[in-house]
Amino acid sequence: MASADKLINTDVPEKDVFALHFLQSLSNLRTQSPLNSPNKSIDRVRKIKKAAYVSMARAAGGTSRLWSRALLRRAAKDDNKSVRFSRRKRKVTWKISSKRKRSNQRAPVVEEAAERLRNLVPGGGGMETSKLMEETAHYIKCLSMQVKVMQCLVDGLSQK
Amino acid sequence: MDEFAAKKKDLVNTPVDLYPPENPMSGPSQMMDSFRETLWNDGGFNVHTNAGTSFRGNNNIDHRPLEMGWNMAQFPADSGFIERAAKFSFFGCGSFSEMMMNQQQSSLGVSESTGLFLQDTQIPSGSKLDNGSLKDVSKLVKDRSINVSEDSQSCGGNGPDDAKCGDTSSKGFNTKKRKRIGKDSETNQSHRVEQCGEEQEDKKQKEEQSPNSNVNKTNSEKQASDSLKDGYIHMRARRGQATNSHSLAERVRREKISERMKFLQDLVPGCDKVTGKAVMLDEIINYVQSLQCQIEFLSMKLSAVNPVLDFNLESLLAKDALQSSAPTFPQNMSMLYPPLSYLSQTGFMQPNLSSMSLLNGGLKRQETHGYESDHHNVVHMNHETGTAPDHEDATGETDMKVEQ
Repeated sequence: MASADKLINTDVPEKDVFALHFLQSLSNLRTQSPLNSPNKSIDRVRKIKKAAYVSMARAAGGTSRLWSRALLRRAAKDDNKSVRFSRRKRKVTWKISSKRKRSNQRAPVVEEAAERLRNLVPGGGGMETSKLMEETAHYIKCLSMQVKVMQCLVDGLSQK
Repeated sequence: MDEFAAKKKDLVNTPVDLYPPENPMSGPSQMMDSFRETLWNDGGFNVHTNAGTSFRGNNNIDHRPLEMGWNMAQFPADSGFIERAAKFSFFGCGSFSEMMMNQQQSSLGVSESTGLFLQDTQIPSGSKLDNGSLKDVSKLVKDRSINVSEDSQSCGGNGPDDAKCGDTSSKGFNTKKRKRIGKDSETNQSHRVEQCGEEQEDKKQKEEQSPNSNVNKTNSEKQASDSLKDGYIHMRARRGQATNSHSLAERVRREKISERMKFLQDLVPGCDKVTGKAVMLDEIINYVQSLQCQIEFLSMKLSAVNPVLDFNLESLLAKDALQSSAPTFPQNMSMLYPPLSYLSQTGFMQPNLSSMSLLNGGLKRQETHGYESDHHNVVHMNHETGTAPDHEDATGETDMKVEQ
């Protein structure tokens, strides 16, 4: 479905790519944790969650997507690391919604929902509504893929 | 703005070549001439007015909106113009595009005496050209090389030519951004569109932009086009709908949004029954939230299952692979082998092979050979990746695949 649509490209890689990235980030956690020795479960959970998001962003296309870029940047900022951006072939244009003068012209229903979406989707703050929806679609796909991977992992581990 | 200024400069220069030599002109043309001069000075490559009439003309440069602030009201309403406009009666024609195309075609062969530029027509509410059914406006795209339409007199002589894409861009001085739209409201536009697409490929300099509410389109004629990646919009104002520039832009934007919403509808499960933008958007938001919650929940579960965070990589992979799609798994083997072989060094060899054999069924022997030989660089890689979270080295292949 996504590939048939010429205008909107929301292809996501296969599940294996996500799995691979996630597992690698998890193994990274393993090497990191002896240093901090987190005892609290909350820290662990947070780390795992962060690893999940970061690996998802990487698997989904690294810096070629607005949301993944924003996610990676946010994560890197927390860790005080810098993110390497690959060359962007396409020009990304976005619109800062606050700059628009005629706010009443846009359908208020749509816009208000778009505001909520912007809070949810990383990097949504600077996007115009139509672009936001594209990113949301891709984001949803990646999220569901990541959820599947994690579910498989949990099932696999708990079976043991 | 700098970009625009730079472009402006280019534009001002280029038309000089294309512009036909000046010829003595008749009355209205003279006026136009003077306009033209001022325009050129201003860098207004697009504008030429014929006060009451609307000739579109963009001289191949289509990008940015010219902030000419041209207003039809500026020009004295010359009765002669209005006559000419009536004479053209292109509004009465099937489409303006035909007219333009006619002009185009003949202009190629004919010396352009007046250098009449077409521009976006603006029909001020008062002075509407009284041609009854002025509902249809179609926007044309002008080819870069083609300069100008020809003189008004010769206009009528050309037969309608529907097959080709209208080359005259209807961007006027207050041209707006071209928008991309995926709808095609008329069948006969399909081939036009393709041709427009090719013509635009080489001249497209504008980036794709979404319409601005300040788009100051005058009464522009647009064509619906689809699959034009570079961002030109061709839109047809529908019958009975306002042809105000703002509303046109709004409509395009709304259609874009609804198109994407349809797309999202397919993604989100259970949204087919829902109708209406508001409800569907709520559904989408809820879905995203639920997915994020699920991730959080699963990460909690993972941390509970594995309290020490010592993830046994190859066993994890094995278990995961069991659930994942089998045919795709072997593709990853080459990538997975490096970390696996590292682990094998630490003594996980036996369970490794057994788990692998579980999954692989038909996995060939050579792959196992392959990974054994990679020991040295594998170890090296893993040492590197151990320190930094950015472990793209190890997955060079994957990343290249994924990140293009």
